[in-house]
Amino acid sequence: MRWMKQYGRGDNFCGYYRLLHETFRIESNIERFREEFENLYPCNNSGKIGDITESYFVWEEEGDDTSELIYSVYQNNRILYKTVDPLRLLPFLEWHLNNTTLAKLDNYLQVHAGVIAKNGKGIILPASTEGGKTTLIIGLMMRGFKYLSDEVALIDPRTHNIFSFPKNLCLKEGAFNLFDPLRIGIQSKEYYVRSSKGRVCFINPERITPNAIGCPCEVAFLIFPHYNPSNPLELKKISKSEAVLNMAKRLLNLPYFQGEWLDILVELAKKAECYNISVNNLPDTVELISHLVEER
Amino acid sequence: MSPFDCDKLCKRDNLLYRELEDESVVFDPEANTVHSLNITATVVWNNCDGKQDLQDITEKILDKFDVPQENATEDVKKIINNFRELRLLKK
Repeated sequence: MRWMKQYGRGDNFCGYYRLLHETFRIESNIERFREEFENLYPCNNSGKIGDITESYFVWEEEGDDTSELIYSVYQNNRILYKTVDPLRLLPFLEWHLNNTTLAKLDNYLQVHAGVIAKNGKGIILPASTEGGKTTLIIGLMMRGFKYLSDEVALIDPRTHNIFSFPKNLCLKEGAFNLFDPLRIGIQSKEYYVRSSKGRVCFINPERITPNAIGCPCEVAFLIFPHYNPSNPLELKKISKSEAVLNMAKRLLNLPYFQGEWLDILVELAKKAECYNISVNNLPDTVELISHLVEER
Repeated sequence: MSPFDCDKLCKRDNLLYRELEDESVVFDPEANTVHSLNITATVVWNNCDGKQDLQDITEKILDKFDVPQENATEDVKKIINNFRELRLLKK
């Protein structure tokens, strides 16, 4: 039998949750949903009208034709999402909150990448969706690196400094067992289901290490990870023009910047050391990157 | 020698080009693509000014790099062909 969380209707609750400078109002009749949400997002009990970015209703209700329960997410009386699987609710809302927040940050150049920092030196790790960014970032955080994002690098177009987008880390099932000290995964019954990625779990960065979030900083390294378990671990310096090309392929808001993005990436590459890293196992990769950053 | 070898080579007008150390990047807004040019391709690119043909540009490469003429000619041909395939040059 498929294991399911104990969802169920409770007293309606309403909470205000923050992601960066945005405040989201969530109202729900699912008690368990409140607990889960509050594990992931800072909460306060009141929100001022005008300060609220978006309001959502997360509702459990009976279906019209069957006794099956339906779980829905509404925004401004408009249905955004409907599912019979409650494990899909949180991933959907997390995704929607991230996108809504990022849409407000279009004045930063956005690159699909993980970002960490150590001693004020920023490291951008651009990689594709299946590139192992989150796994590598958790490994580096456990080694003392500060967290800025596991998904998006926010680059200030004027200073070229990097800013944090400290969303909850989203770890896919294949990596659940890599982090025993965090006690995540199937056994701890913390997983959810995301349409595009299958089973995932969300980790509040503060659970990995206290004061986990890094401050804005200069970019010292552009490191492009390529996961391939059959290749040896190898760190290889690449040219700055290749780094610009690879960053450009992962730009998320290119139209907003027209031609200016190229100058931003060029300036970023000029200041940074640029590498490809062939990743075949986590501990050795973490060791190699730590050593590289600490040496500089 | 192909009939193209005597053509004066000229880069398209509406491309964004930036140099980084000895290399460079070119953005083609029509195709929405970015190209990374190594040190040799960067020299070739900078000489696609509408006044020089393949032979002139090969001379520039020989002035700048210590390579045999045969290799230089082959390299420049390959690079020009790449530029043409990517539609970075005027017809």
